[in-house]
Amino acid sequence: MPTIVSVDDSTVPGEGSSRLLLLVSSDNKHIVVEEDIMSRSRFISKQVEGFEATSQRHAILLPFSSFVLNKVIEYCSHYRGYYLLEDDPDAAPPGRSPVREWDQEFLDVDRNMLLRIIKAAHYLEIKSLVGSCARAIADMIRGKTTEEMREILGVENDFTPEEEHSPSSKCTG
Amino acid sequence: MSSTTDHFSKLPTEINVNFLRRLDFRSLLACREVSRLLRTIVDGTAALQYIIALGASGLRVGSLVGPDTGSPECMAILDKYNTAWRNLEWTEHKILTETRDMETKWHLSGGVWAQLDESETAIHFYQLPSHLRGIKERQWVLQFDVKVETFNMDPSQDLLVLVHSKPLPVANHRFRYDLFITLRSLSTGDEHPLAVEAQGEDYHLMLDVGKNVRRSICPIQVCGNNIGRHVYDNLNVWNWRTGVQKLFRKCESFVFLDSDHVLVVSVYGHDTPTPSPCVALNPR
Repeated sequence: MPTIVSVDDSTVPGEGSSRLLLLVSSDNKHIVVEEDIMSRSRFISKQVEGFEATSQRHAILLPFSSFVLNKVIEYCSHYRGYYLLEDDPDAAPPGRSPVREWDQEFLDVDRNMLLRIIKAAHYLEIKSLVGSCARAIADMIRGKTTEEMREILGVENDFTPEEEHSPSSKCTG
Repeated sequence: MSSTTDHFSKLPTEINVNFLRRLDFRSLLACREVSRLLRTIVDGTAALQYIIALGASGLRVGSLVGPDTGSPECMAILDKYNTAWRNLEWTEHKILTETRDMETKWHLSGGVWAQLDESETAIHFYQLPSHLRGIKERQWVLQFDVKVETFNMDPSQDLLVLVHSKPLPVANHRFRYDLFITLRSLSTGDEHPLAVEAQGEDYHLMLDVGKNVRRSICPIQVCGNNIGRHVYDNLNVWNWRTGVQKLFRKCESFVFLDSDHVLVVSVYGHDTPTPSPCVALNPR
């Protein structure tokens, strides 16, 4: 018997609400969410189109944890029904704070969580969330030294001493 | 167990490019040194190479006409731009000062030529056109209801700094000049929306009657958020968006090195210790 985990109150189906989707995370949590919340995801939309074609609805298995999935659902719920232009982060959904502001707070997480979210957003093809995560990563490393960037991104220096300072091959003068 | 390194190196290339393309060229060059993976991506992505090539020419994404994809087409436009500078190839030739003589105050900054006319109440502007940068030729005049002593500008911030004065007769045939600084929009002449109301403390200068020293009053310079003004041996630098004073010191002359540093020229006696001529405005 699978555990049904409701995301939050807004996703509990009411009268006239959209159809439900069953998402299964890599840690085998079953999450029920309204279809139109997830319509921001191109990946989910394509799955749903497949359901329509075969008239069979089944669970959608996702390769990341429920912790990350819930975060993504929180994002999609916040912007439910709102058109997001990826390159216009200063726009504001009606009656809400500007996208950049809300997203900054939403993405105020540690590096590994940020990388997990961007990977999940990429997998689910949510362009606006990928963009916001990418902006957050860029903001973290902009103006930093190479050594500081390694620390922030958690990357090891894997150059040989000769390679380390080789000039850019394509860009001279 | 996945290490932190794995998280990053397993990112799809599109994600790496997505955050890299939001960086300035200096940060991109620093990124090249981080790891083999990042170097391969930076060196192998046309759009990122374009950002670096633009940076090497003192330009940013969006500076030139055409798409910003790093396609051969936009590389060709950048090449044309650099060749034009290297060989000083003029695309246009025009005389701007036929009627107004060079004695009056003028500035050429950010591709805009500005000159105060003989009435000293109007500034004539001419925006230099550039086909490669997509800038159209434009001419406009701003008329003021005060006599402008001097001015300076930063077209990139749509900022015009006006200095005007009110002479007030005081005792013994002397005049008191009250200097006022107002920040206007370069394009409309209205108050600049980002400027705080009070700009530097107003100055009261005592000048002798008949002495025509007004022309040399108050050299003023703008650099980023800072405005520097030199009056009677005193340099005053403040942030025009916040009104916070950054520097006040006696000196002969000054120049902004960048938005954080000022070079000041001072005269000292043999035995006095000389402080550094380069002053940091935002000491770490």
